Amino acid sequence: MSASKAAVRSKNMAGPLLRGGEIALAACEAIQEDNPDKEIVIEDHRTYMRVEADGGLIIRRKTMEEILGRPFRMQELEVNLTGFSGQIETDEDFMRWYLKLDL
Amino acid sequence: MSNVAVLSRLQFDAHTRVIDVDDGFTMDQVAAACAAPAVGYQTSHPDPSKPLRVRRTTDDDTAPTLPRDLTVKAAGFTHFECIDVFVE
Amino acid sequence: MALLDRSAWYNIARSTNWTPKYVPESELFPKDQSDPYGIPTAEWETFDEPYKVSYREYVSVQREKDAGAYSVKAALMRSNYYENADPAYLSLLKMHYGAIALSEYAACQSDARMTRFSKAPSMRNMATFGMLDELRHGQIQLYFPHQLVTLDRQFDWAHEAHHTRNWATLAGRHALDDVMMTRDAMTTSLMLNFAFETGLTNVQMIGLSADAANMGDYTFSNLITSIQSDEARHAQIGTPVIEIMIRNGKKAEAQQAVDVAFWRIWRVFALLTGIPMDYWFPLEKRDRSFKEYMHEFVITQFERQLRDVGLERPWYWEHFLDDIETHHHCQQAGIWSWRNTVWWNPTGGLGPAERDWLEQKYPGWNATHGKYWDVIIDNLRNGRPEKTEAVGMPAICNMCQIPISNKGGTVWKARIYQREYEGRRYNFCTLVCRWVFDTDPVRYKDWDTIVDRMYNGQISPPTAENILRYMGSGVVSKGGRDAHDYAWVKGYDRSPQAAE
Repeated sequence: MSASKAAVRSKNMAGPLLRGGEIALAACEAIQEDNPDKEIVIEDHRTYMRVEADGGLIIRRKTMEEILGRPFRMQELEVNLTGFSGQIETDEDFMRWYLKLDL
Repeated sequence: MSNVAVLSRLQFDAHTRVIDVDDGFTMDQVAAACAAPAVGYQTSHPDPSKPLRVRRTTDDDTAPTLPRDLTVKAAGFTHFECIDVFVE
Repeated sequence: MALLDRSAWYNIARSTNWTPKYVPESELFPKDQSDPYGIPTAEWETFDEPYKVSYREYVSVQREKDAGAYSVKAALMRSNYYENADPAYLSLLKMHYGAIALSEYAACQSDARMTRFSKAPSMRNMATFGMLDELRHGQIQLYFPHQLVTLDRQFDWAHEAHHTRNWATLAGRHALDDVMMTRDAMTTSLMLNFAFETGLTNVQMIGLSADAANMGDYTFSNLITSIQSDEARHAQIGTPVIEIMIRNGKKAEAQQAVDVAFWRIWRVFALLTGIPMDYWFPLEKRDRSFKEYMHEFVITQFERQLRDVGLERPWYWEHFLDDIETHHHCQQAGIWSWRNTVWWNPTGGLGPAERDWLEQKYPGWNATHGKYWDVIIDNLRNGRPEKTEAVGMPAICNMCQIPISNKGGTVWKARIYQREYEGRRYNFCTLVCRWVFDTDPVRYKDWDTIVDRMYNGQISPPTAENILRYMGSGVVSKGGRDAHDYAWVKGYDRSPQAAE
């Protein structure tokens, strides 16, 4: 993974906390594809991965389907989404974690 | 003679405790009653060379130290009176 | 048959408000149950849940979650993990299940109140799922410990604890009754969904899972993160409520509700989570300290969410930061000393290496909390184990129902904050618990702590045996003892200097 662990945390970090498993690994990959301009920080805490970036992250259904090689409903991510930082927006085609205020 | 439940704040102890005292007890007896379940169990005597004294608990810890022979009744302690038990 | 996309019908499906003809709106939505803030119904109808789900999706996803949790349990059942587990780790499970399982059932009622009495139709929809979530959490957290009752009777407290008058139960129930059982739908959402679920459940359900996995208990570790995936969704019910309240000039009311609830739940969760993380896990299995978890999930993550939805840090933030260094350390000490009152076997767990770790994580630990254990270790090393069992009663806080304690040693921070109200003297552990009382004395004034009950005749006569029986200790199961039969103190034989 190209994600940096050393990045200094900004005050505007937002993103998912993912439980382990096939979907979570695919989600990590998809998030990197869907957020090409972001420096993504992944902390692996074994039972959960904290995936965040300054200003938040998005994950798209289309990308998940490409990675998994099967149809994917965005809602399936909930099984592995044990938490998140920031606020959340859900849609059939994407999930987004974001912050309204820029601090 | 009747019992009064005082709330003891013994110097250096992490807990505060409910202690039953007789209204005829002197302050020395009150201090001993407060130390009994604490000292040697979960805390040490703050300074064994000095007697434990009693004062009412206040926010700024400036209440006068009560005379050693003053009784609970004379001090006017009532249910859940908060007291500091300490060495001077 | 092709299904419509959710977005094609979702807005219509959730628009379920109507104009009542047979009763006035004030009867349909009585303000004590619904909205005491007087915000117009049209405003509540703008409630737009950030985390959307349809019933079909809900059922399918929940089925998958349950299948995952139950299959991990079934696969590992033959491993005899629990038969061979560290007894202090089993204590964590006993405490967790006893405190949590029926609280989840109770939360089902809170969601049911939102489902019935919220004026926001979308909120009613989300709360319906929340209600089903809590039902799942109640059932699964009764089912999992049930197999352990034959192993150890103390596991029966998973089901019994809430029905007893154990002091720990009273503390938990008082807080939960306050924030989720006795409030209107909107305030419940601020207190339960936002302050409690968004604010504090992560530390218990995600943080603890990492430590549990290190212990090899994948059943529990997997269970609690699965539960938390429900919380992450239904906790979002609170966010639009806050936005609507702020927009309608009720920010101060929303802030106060969040501040009260966050503190109340913090006081209980610090015991439930902080004590096992910092004292009961073997040193080599600890992922991070409780304080480090609090920094990750609360001081960083939740504080940022709080500001993002338009609220401020609670006024007592500095007190809270200090309490993270204090509260659970004091209660580990107190619970261990009064161990026969609880339904688990706490370990002292304080060898020389553990003390070094605590000093490193909590600078100043040895000079404050450590002084308490110096006396205990001295008693154990010199053949006076009976002096490690507490006698008498600690003073109890009239708000959090927890013994009033603070850092010992020369800093001597323990102090009772009193309030006289209608001729009665109330005792509080902190300025914050007293502030909570002051926000609504009528609400809190009639409750009796376990100590109040010794003096008003409810526990009569208040002998040590009667108090224990009243609390269910020795009735449901035997009360607690040291989980390791003091084996942890042997470390000082090898390292005599550390015991000084």
